[in-house]
Amino acid sequence: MLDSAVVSHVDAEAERAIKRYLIAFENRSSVAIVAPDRVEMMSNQPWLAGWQVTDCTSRFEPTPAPEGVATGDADELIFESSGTVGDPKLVRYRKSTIRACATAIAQTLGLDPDREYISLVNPRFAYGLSIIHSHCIAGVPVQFRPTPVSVSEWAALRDVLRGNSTVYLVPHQSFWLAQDVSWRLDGPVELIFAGTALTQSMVDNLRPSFPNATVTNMYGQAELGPRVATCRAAIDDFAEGDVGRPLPGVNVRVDARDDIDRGGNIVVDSPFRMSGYVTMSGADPNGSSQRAVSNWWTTGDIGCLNKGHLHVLGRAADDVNFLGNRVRLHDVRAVVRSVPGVLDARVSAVPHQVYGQRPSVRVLVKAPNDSVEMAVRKALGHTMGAAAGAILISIIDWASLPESGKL
Amino acid sequence: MVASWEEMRSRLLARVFYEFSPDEVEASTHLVGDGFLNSLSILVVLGLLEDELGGHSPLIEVAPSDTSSLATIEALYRRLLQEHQIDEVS
Repeated sequence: MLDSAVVSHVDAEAERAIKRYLIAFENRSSVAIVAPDRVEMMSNQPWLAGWQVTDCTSRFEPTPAPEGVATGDADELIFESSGTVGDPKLVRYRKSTIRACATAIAQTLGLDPDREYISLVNPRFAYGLSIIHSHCIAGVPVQFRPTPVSVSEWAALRDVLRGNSTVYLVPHQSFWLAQDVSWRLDGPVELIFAGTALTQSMVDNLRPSFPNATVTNMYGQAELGPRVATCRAAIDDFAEGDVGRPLPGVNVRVDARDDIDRGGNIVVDSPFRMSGYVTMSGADPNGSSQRAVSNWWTTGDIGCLNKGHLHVLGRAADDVNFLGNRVRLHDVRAVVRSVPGVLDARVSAVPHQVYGQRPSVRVLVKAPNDSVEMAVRKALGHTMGAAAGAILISIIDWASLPESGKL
Repeated sequence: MVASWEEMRSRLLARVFYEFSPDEVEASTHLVGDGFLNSLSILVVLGLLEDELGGHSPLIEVAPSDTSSLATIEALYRRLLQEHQIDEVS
């Protein structure tokens, strides 16, 4: 049985939504978790009749099952992966798989009732859900908080931290946590990161404020339970890319590639793998197994194994983890190409000290002018929000292309 | 040599505040409270300063009040230039 009493949220409405989700997960029906603005649309989908639809924040909509219509075996959970450009991709799980992965996470982290757990992670995505489920299984309290949206709110969050605090967060939030260099907490705080790559510079920035912290770097994917491996180290011993040993039952191998000097494709055989993808209209996009060979799942990451530890070196697939979201480069290109006046665009990922990686866009136009860059950024902002401001945009005059014509 | 504040101001208006009237942004003394900035876009602001300052990260030197307004961001930029002895293009 899940112990839903251990999960709290500083916002009473969000706490109610999470607890109703947990009751549905445990007892009543299959559950779909989607963005707040999609709850209504999804709760009217015929294929979700008899399910519960929630955003784990404020909405919880039972979808009545018409009489005589079978509603399945009430053992499924679907939720969105965190892509922000293009249509959302939903992953589909058996509840038993979610429980099994959460149990492995709880054991690996050694959840301790004497520590005070705080989560700044959105509860509706894979990382947040894994926190909810692992704490319920372990019977260890965790308090969710909305991500602070101002410097003063971050200061208020720092004020509630104690030596026995453990904070779940995503890497780009580390800059805010460590923002005030005059603030310092000497206690053995634990900072647990997942969701995107944690860089050395992020941890270096944290060190003055959290000199005795433990940094736990978790690696996984929404399609894999979500957790694959976990590395825990004193803040001084943190090594970028080291995501530690696989969870119990998870096997990892690295397939060599001819086109890179170091490492290869990270491939995972996990008992916590999803059942498949599903579209908003309930269709199987037939992508569920397209990247898998037998039980092995190609993660799209490049890495290597060293003394049993998996080291993630970067991304092989056509997407980047950027300010907490997975951004597909060809979707960025499609958005840019849709802007009037744009002839073509080339998008790549470039390293950045603050963001880890960021998209860089070369935009080919026939007649350069100041308004094109603005139009491109607005189009990207419409689909990506504030993160669009950090995308590197270069406007390229058609006449200045090299003879090869390569952008 | 790095960009002048006027150039940085133009970049901020074009890349971060592009949805808003420059005059309204300029007049605000509480960019977050007035809805011009959120925690993510503040990171974008600091990332822009970082891009210009090279290895001198404003992220470890910024104070909560430094992003209250364009004027305080300007003061932060000038302070970082001075502390790291970087010349601004005149």
